Amino acid sequence: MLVSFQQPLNQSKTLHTMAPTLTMLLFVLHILTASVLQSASEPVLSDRRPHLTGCSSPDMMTFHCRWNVGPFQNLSDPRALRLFYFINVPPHLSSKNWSECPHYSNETPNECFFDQNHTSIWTYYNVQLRSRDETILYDEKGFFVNDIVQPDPPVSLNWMLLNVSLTGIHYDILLSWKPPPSSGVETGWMKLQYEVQHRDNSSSVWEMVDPVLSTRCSLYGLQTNINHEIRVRCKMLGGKEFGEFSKSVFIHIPSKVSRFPVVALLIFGALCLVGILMLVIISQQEKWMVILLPPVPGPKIKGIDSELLKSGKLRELTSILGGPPDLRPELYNSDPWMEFIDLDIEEQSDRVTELDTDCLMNHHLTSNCSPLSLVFRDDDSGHASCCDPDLPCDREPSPFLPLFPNLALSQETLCAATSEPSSPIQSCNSGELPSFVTDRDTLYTQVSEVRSSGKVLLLPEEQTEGEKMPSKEKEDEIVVEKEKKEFQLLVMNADHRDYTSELNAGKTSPELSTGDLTEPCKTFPSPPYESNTTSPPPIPAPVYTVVEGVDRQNSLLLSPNSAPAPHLIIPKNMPTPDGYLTANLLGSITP
Amino acid sequence: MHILLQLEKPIIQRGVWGLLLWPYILTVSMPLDCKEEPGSLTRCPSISQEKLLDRVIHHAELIYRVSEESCSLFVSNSKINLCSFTFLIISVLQDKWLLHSVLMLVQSWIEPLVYLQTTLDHYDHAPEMLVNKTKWVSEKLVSLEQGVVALIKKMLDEGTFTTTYNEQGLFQYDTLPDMLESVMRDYTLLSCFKKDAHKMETFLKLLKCRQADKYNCA
Repeated sequence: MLVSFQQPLNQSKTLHTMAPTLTMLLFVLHILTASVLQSASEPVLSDRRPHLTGCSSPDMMTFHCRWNVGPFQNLSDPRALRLFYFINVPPHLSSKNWSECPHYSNETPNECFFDQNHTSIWTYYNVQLRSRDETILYDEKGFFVNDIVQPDPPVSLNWMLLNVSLTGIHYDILLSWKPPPSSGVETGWMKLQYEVQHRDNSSSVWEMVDPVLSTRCSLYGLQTNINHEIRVRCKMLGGKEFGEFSKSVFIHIPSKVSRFPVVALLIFGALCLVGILMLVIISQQEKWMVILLPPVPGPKIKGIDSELLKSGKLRELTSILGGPPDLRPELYNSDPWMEFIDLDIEEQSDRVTELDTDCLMNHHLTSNCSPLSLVFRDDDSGHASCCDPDLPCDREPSPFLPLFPNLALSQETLCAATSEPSSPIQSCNSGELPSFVTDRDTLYTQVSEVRSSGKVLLLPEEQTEGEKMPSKEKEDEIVVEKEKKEFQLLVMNADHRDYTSELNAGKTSPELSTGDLTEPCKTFPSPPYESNTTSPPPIPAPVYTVVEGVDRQNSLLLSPNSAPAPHLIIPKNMPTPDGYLTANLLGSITP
Repeated sequence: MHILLQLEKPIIQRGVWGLLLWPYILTVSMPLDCKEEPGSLTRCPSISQEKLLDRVIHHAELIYRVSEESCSLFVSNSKINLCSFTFLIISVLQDKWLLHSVLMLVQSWIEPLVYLQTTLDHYDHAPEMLVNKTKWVSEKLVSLEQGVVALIKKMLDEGTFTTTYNEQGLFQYDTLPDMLESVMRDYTLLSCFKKDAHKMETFLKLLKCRQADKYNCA
């Protein structure tokens, strides 16, 4: 027996201890080499000599020992070799009760089988291989039974396909098996550890998986179209050596042929989708263009829409141009104190009645008269401008008012005779009667006669109306006009020094014994009702002329071309608009 | 035959050992909720029987692994069986017998391991790993004894239990006069201990798989 320590040099130890260790080491090495040489020779001899190949226990309850006969043929007799064993009992180390093999197995030659009765598990066995006559000791072994356990291979190896990769090249499997029945795993007798090995048919190298304690194992990444070989073996937990391998399982999974159509289908689907998208885009090109490239808005005045102009909404347009659209110009007034003044007719008439006839008659003589401009007031005060189409524009006789002052002026000039304001009749002693028409409504009159002296005679409205009697078209109008219009003719009565109305004009007229001047006054027809009794005197047709100017005496200067015709025959057939002769009709009138 | 103490596996083996024992250390280092009363057997009412048994099994497994590694430090061709011998017939495996056997084994090995520790300390160049492992094993063996005792109390409802020990003592050191080499002695001791550790582990596993009527230890 040789016992020795092999230990590395410990630096912590002192130097003086290193020397003996070194010598010891050298001694050990020497011994080792000798033993190695000796042991090296033994295998050579054992190859020729019968030797024990090994003892193993599959279930830790029985075991067997096998030996090899060797090249010697003379030992073919099965009983040529004998196996002996003994169990060491410490107190009796020296005595060796060797027992022979309890059972030489019949199935396997050169094997000794120790059954359960002869197996003591946690016991050290010494086994010797001897010749028949026990003279030659070929081999011997010593072991504990629990150390030589080599379980049987697992059984019922099976596999299940887990999944195949999308490409179809790799696949995963789940391997399962059952422990060897002899192991007694279910009773807890042995705890086993399994090792899985697999390889391709092409290679000879086995790939090992780490040992597992369970009876399942998953293998990932196996290739299709390749034969795979899988085997399992097990070992007792804490044991030294593995048992035998199980029967191999061969797996071959062909790669799916359908993977090609899958790829083609995917490509085809993608192309179709692209084509559909293109069609949609092309068909809706305009919309897309608008969405993608919106039109640049042109220059535009803020607030003004061209559509407004087109639709003719001038109101809005002007409101926009005028100012803020939310403010109406009629409401937004710079003169808030101004109010809308309603047109009052009485006021109008009052205004006119205020006319001072004296002033009118003796305008240039008397300076007491307020200027006639007083009559002519600014009627625009308080009123909105008539330019605004929104506001109704009442028909005002104001525009016509200037006529009357002029008329008055003309009358005044005609009545050249000066008279006092109190007796303006004197001025009219010439016989001319100024006619004042004060009426709310407009009153149209005609120039009945133009004297050579330049005096213009006016026709009263009845006369004009009377001439129009034959025209039926004007009958209604005449009636209407009669009804509508009231007028008062203020006739100056020189004698009476009083204002007389027209009604009395006819009566008073004969009293006037003035000359030519009175004549025109006489031409004033009798009042309408009087005209019924008496036939109207033939009235000369009115003569139209053109006023050229006003002379120094404020008398109208008429154009001499127009000969004062006594009367004008108006063709009766011709319709005269309101009794006026238009330019068209003028040519047809023959004096 | 010669025994060589192989110390060729330095750091790597230590790391491997640490990794292997790590899950076990966690479970084993946690003390049992048993208050040790001197002179009397302990009671562990707070832990369940199954849990206690599992813990005991873990202890035994770990002890066996450590002893196996300790034995692997030796390289020996010795063919002498120096261990105690208990010829047991496996067919007779009852709970009571199993527990008693385990307890007996545990108790029989406490003292020899203490002796081993002392002898290793006497060496000048004793390998450190061996010393540590031996120390560790002896400590765990004591706790294993406690657990087995508690288990016996729970499972067998036995009271005080007197140890019948040492009739089959491990080996009588004085009966080995020709063992001049203490290393030989150490190796033998450790190998025998390893064998018994395996025995204990197996007994306990058998006990466990018996508890559930269905053998679900596969």
